[in-house]
Amino acid sequence: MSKPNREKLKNDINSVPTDVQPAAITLDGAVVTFSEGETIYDVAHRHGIDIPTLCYDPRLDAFGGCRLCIVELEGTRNPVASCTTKAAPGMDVRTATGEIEKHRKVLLEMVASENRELDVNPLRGYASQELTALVERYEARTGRFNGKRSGASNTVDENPFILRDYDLCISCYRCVRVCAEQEGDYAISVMNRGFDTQITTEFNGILKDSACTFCGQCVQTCPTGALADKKALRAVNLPGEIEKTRTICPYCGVGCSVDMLTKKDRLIGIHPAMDGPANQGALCVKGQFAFDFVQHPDRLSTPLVRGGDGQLRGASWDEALDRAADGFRAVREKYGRHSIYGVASGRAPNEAAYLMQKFIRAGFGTNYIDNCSRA
Amino acid sequence: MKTPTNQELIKRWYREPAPLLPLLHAFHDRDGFISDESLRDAAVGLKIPLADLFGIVTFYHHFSRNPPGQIAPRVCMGPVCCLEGGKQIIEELKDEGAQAMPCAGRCDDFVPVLKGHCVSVGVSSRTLEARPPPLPPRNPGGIEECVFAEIRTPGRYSIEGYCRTGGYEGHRRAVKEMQPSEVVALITDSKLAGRGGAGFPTGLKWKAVAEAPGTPKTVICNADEGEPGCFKDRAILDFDPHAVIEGMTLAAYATGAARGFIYLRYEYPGTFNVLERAIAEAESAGFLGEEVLGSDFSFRIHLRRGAGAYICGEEGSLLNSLEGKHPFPRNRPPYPVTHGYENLPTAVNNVETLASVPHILRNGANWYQGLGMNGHAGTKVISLSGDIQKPGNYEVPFGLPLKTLLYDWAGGARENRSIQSVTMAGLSGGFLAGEDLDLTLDETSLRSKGSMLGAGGIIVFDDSRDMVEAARSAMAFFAEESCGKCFPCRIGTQRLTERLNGKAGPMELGKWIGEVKDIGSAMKAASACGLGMAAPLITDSLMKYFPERVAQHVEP
Ligand SMILES: Cc1cc2nc3c(=O)[nH]c(=O)nc-3n(C[C@H](O)[C@H](O)[C@H](O)COP(=O)(O)O)c2cc1C
Ligand code: SF4
Ligand code: SF4
Ligand code: SF4
Ligand code: FES
Repeated sequence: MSKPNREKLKNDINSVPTDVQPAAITLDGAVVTFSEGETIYDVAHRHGIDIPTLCYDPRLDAFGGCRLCIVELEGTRNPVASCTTKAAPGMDVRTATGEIEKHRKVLLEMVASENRELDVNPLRGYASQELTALVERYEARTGRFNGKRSGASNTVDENPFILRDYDLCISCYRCVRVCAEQEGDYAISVMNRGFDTQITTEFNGILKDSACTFCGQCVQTCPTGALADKKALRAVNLPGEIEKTRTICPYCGVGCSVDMLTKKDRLIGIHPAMDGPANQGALCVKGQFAFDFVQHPDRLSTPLVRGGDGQLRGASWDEALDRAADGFRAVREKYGRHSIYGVASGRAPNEAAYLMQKFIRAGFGTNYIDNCSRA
Repeated sequence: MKTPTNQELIKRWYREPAPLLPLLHAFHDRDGFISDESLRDAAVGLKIPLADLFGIVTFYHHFSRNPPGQIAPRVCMGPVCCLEGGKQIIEELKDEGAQAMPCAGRCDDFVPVLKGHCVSVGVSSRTLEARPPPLPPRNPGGIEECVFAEIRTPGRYSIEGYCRTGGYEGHRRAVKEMQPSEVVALITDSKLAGRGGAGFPTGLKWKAVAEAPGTPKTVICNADEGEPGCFKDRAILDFDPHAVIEGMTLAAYATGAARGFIYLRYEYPGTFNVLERAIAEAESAGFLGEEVLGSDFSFRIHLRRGAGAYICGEEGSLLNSLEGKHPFPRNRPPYPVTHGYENLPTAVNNVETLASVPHILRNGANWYQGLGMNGHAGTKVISLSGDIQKPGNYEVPFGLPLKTLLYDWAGGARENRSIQSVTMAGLSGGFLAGEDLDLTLDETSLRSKGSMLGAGGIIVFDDSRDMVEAARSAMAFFAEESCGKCFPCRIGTQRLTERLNGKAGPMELGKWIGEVKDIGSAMKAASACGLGMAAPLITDSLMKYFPERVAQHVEP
């Protein structure tokens, strides 16, 4: 998972004035500097140390649930969670001692034992491979610790976007936290406690009846694929490799960066770009799920003009543009230049919006120009 | 009286500090359960997202969402009660919708059954009666006490009785004659340390709160007492509520706090009434409120009732519970002394800690220190229960030999029985047995055995008891009460319970031990709070003291 805030932190570090002595900690034997507010995890990450995590999403407040990120801190009786422990001058930290690595493996074996399925299709979501990858890295697929499985899938929620396959849930609460912290929707929450913990909505209902906006953020942060992208999953059996192409969501003026997922020439899904400058991984329902129009059979692929019989028929661009120009000209001559009002589509890029206003102002001589995403 | 509407109840509470729990209780008491409509109204009234509120309500054991709800009997199935008729009572009251509840803190007078706001006790459903809880027995040696020094004086629970026996003298002296820093220094010198389990020096805690920036500051009395086999805070609050209130006002004076909370566990409804009355008495006597005793010190105490969650005794979880949040423990640091209630400086103290304070003010730091034995300072109330002749709350000097308490004070095992094992810290210290029973009651001695004194609950198991079953029931408690925040404890308590009940896990001893030890060490090293760190002491000590029994359990 790319971690957008880290780049920023790196820049912040580099911009520390050189006349102040930067605070330092010892990290696996090396003395490294840190800036105020950085956690041990942040500092380690900046130095390329790959501390394993499952409940961590760099966009969210550190939660300290999975405990995979524990590190040894000189002077404390127990290891500490590096994601929640702020670096302080003089700390001596060891990130991967034999003991620590053993605990991590045991923890992963425990998580694997509560989960019904480790190998999930990557189309389920952006982070869906995180658990599998860690289980592989720690060779934790051992079948130890068998027992009851946790979580129960919601099979009645028939919304077209989000699969709620909680059989695979490991209670990291990233979905709940992203919904609250990143989206401000507070649509989902944690029900019950302990091993019976279950991700839920108000009164354990369906998403449509909740405050959910179907932005899909929960899907994309879920490290197990328990929350999955139903639209992308339609393409599971489509032949071809999944390819990613970076682009910008065409729907509104925010300009969220997305990665289009394609198989051959089919657009099959959208991932938010975690390093998108405008969205830092956030998307709304349109950017996330509303892409079916691209390959829809009803989509126009050629200009149409209306014949004398009132029916639409295919035409060339030249013919269609001439027809439109004639229409505008006739209206302006009859009713004056202010009878024309232009609305630029919010789905068009800034450049196109600029050209549109130029066209209306210079071409027709009126200031009646607007944009649908102005509000 | 007309039944209040949702809006009237919301209006009653929404301006009060920590309004969520009392509002939910008001709904619960009115209807016997909390309806969807009430939750919707509460979400709007208190500006809590409905999904969160729904999740929060499901967290607590005792909040019912459906009829029969609150009136369905809740029968204690704690480690003592399940051996003394709890199972039978639950069976007998099945038709009334009886449910099991974890240890309800009446282990010296079993079996408590909670129905609405009434606790009755008895060993079968026919003998259930609502009787007052027992007074702490006196120790036979006439050893001087602190917390219990006056508790047996008749009428001590009322403000007149309390004042007749020296009550509020310390408070008066502090407010009129001492600087707050002098109170802190006195408590520091006394070496009083937290009696809620962690044993943090009380003077240091108060100093940190006093020096931390930000107001208003808060003092919280932790009366959640959820540890199985612990019932000392109940006895103190029932018989000596003003000592705790005085302790809180002294803490507030010392730290500069203006508001106080008592967070009382759900299972003590009688104690709630005692406290409500005592707070009102102290207010009308001018010991609480604005400009106490004509000084510029103001302090108010708000009584809040939990809803059935052991973890809410953990201070971070308690704070979240008060603030109306999901009661997960908080990440530490920062600690409550700087970031407590509403992220402002807060002293969270146990009932017993606070109840000791007025005595220390009256008798001095040296006196208190001197109550301990062999260089240990002060006293500790031990809740002793289980297979013992005279169960009850005993105030022991730190450093007292365990066997003196068990045999000389409490009469030893029941007739024709011998003591096989005892727990420490309720269940959180695991079991002790054999030669390791030769220890003294102080942290140093207990730590050397890999255990701890904690909140001071000791449960005795005689030679008729199956220790694997005792361990299973203990671990099932931890699994039931694990909040679900962190992986090692959420999964670990479940897996250890399964291994103790034989429902899952290897059938080969070596592998079984390997799994149980690996889970246990990951829990101890990585859990986010004391619950997950303590739970594996149960399995560790079971394997240490009863290896044959474990072998027999795994490979019968
Ligand atoms: C799982 C758990 C449960 C706890 N329950 C209680 C409790 O019921 N009462 C209590 O006073 N402290 C309890 N504590 C300890 C508190 O977190 C805290 O340390 C204590 O209230 C501080 O007061 P003291 O310093 O006076 O002991 C618990 C701790 C943990 C980890
Ligand atoms: S659904 Fe996914 S993101 Fe949410 S708690 Fe479960 S595993 Fe974590
Ligand atoms: S429509 Fe939604 S996803 Fe697309 S740019 Fe706007 S906010 Fe972002
Ligand atoms: S150790 Fe257990 S009770 Fe404590 S935070 Fe973790 S899951 Fe919750
Ligand atoms: S990343 Fe630190 S506890 Fe999960």
